[in-house]
Amino acid sequence: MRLTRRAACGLILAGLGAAATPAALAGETARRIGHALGTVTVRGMPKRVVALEFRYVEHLLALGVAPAGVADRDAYGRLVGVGADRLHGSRDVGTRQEPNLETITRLEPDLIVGFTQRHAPIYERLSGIAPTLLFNYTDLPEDGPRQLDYMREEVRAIAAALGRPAAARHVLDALDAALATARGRLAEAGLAGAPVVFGQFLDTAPRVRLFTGHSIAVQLLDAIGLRNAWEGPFERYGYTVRPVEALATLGDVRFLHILYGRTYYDKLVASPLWTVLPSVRAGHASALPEGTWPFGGALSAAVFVRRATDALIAQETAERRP
Amino acid sequence: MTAPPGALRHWGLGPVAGLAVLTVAVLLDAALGQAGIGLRDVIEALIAPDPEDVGHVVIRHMRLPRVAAGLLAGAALGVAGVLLQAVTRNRLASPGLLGVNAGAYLALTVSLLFPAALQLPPIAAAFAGGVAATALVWAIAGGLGDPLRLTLAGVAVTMALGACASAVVLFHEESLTGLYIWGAGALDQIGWDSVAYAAPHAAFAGGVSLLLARPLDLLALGEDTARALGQRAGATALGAVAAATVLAAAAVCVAGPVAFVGLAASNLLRLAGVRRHALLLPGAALWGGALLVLADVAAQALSLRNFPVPAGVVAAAIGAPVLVALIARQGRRGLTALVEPARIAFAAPSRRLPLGGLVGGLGVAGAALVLLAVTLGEAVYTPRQLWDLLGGGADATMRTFVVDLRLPRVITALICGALLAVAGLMLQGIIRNPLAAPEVLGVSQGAGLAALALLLAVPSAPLAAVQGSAFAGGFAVFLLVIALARRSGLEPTRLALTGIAIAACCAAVSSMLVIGAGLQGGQALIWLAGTVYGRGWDQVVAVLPWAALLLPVAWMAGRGLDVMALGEQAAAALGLSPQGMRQAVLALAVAMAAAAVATVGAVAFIGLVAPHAARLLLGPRHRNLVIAAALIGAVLLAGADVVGRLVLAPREIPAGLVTALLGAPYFLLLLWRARRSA
Repeated sequence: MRLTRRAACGLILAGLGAAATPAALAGETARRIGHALGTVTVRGMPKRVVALEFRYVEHLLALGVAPAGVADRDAYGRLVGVGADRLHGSRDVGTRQEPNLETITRLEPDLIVGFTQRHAPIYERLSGIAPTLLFNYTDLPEDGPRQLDYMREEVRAIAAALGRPAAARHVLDALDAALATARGRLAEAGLAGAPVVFGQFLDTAPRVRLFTGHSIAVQLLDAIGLRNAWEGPFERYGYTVRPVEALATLGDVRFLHILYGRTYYDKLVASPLWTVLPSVRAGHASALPEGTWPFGGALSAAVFVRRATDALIAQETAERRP
Repeated sequence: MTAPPGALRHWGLGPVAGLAVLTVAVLLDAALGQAGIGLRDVIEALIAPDPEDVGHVVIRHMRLPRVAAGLLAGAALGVAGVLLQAVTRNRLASPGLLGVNAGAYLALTVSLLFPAALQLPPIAAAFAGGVAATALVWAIAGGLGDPLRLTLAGVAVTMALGACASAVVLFHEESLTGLYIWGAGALDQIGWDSVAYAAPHAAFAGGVSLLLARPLDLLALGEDTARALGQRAGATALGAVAAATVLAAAAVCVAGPVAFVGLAASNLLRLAGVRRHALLLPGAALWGGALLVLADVAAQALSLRNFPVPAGVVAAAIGAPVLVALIARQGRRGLTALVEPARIAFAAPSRRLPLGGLVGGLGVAGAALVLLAVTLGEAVYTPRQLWDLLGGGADATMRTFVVDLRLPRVITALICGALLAVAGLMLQGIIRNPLAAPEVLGVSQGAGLAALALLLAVPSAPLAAVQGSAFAGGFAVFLLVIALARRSGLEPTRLALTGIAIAACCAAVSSMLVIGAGLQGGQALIWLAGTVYGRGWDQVVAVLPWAALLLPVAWMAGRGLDVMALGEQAAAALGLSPQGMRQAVLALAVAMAAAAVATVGAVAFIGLVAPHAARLLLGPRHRNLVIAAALIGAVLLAGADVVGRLVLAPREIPAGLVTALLGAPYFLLLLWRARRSA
């Protein structure tokens, strides 16, 4: 029986973190946790957790658990950054795409958290090592749950699996507080409803990813009172890749952007095109600090909105200066 | 060489038509893009530019450089194609053959990801890398004396450098998309500096090639004739190849690797009856530029939806069918084989080993590899512990590692390595071309693409579905090749060339898949490279029946292949139907390759190298070769698995990359030594 994707996602959201009965709150009993590939039974309070994708590292750190194993640990420090200082005791288990099954086994984990697109083919093996949760945050259909809501459900599910569902509320409350603070600061600066476009410059080609309303980055900006001005076609990862010249179509928006490497970005900034772009001319274009991760996670989401807010307020301040 | 009907007969029309097409193409290309500006803006920007107008600035600093890059790269590739075709006396020689694209790609990757390492701006790095790779190929092949050796060296260097680049990129997944866009031939530019860098190099090399026009005409008469006429054939050839290298490197550093433009431009001109190089060279420049800019026009038009379509993909998608059509039109005499059909060994074996000795040696090697694979890893076990395991006593972890993880992996590698090697042997046997291998003919790619497309769409697809789609893809390519080459009776050369055209198409499509895969780019790359990661007893059980069935059949077909090697007439005289034999063996090879690819992805190199190694050791008898190639292929892939798993633990290098990284240098060493003994 094939569910439609929408129905499946609805089930996913409903099933995620379904700590089935109040008795499960005690944390010691067995509980069934729903995830993208079904449900899994978790017993006790998992202490040793292996995270196979960056956002789950973040979720775990936010919930107060330093993972025993992390995939691409050094890349996490380089690309995401948040909480990397707490990963010294975590073992690198290989790449996210092909985590080393032997290393994971040797860690004797109580719980494994992964990403469906990468880890579905090895789900059986991972389940053989420890109860495994897989989440599918990039396969949400256009009219389905939003990436931001899905992220919240992920946190709840992982917290339930850890036997500490109340911790999820703390984490999500902290995120909401960060969003509220940002919203307040922006409103104060008169930026509520400002049109914003968020982009990421590629480091190895003169192209830019422009994020659509389907992405968690734009949904976060939306949540702090900004208005997304990039009407790209639906793309399930939440961004469209465009040649740099597409920036000419943006008009005067608040253009926030990040970059991996500087080669093509520096070229662009040095070229005559940069200075005639309406956003740049109006002083509304800002590069966010290096190591801003736009793909969501309980910790990086707060960092992202804070840095975006800082950048926008800096723009306003610079504008008001005589 | 009769003048083909309906083509431009009067060479005087050529330049006029070419310039007209060029102008239209340039205007169209400048008018297309994603900046919301059109033809009117282009005209305005050219006539009365306004430095404050965004549209005009985009046109002058992005669009026009892009057009210029297309013209420059297309012209350079056209001329380089003509030069190489003259020197190798092969109408289908193309600039990419000598490794220039792979060298540029690797150098660019390194310079973008590790700026401090090369201390060169990316474009200079790409140029230098391209030239260096060709120099390496040239050095190993020892010049033009043996076109076969040159081609093989070019292919091996391309695979090795490509695998290097893939390995580097795999550990920087976030940079994958951009590199694949470049690698698929994207013309996007920011500013004029890339074009400004490459243009002088290209112009210089173009000038040199014009000076060589006359000598090249003489060379076309044959080396001996040329020498008799006082021509220094060696110097001419060297100069032509050097010029072609610089041109190809200039093209690749502004536009990325673009296939088929060199072939299309020169062959179109030849179809129109142009023979003299003094006309052929400028004509190829003109039409090459026009064709690439037209391809970019199409690419821009197609890019309007979700993700970018690089010009190189369009060039391949259009160029491949054009090439196939050109092949079909050519009379037998007009089409020279890539290499002389009968010479499929690049060196006579200096001493032939007895089969028993070879089997014994390889068997021991295989057993040793299995032992290594099973004892080494996160936990290292002694043989004594293994003995205990066999006896039933061992802890659960050891049992998991050895029995669930390591053993099925290495067994899968052995089986699939054998299948790929024998598939390559079969293909080389019927096509009588040393470059025939499942990956060169598009079979591996077709199977790999179909499976990859399924995996990207449905990540938790069951194994049987993946196998099924791989078979479907492989056989689709097979049927396509058969259909296109059928009219010629599946004549070997046509078969090979058709396969190459399809392989290039598949490569273009796989680039698009990787680019479109977005955040799953790493997964796509690994599948296309080939990997044994995560393969368990399920996979062993799925692929073993195929091996058990098809390998013996291949062995039995060995005698038929020996007869085919005598030539078609001899074979027919001996009661064998060449076409029927080819069809059957082709089906066999495709089935073996598809079974392997469905299990481990599109592993390259084994199908190419194992048969050659076997021939070097054993001589030409196919029944022996089947056994030897199967063993060599098995040992190669199993060895690659062990190395890839252990070298950077806990990270894993996909086995398919290791086979290229280790196998290619070894293969080049063989070529080098064969040169010295010849």
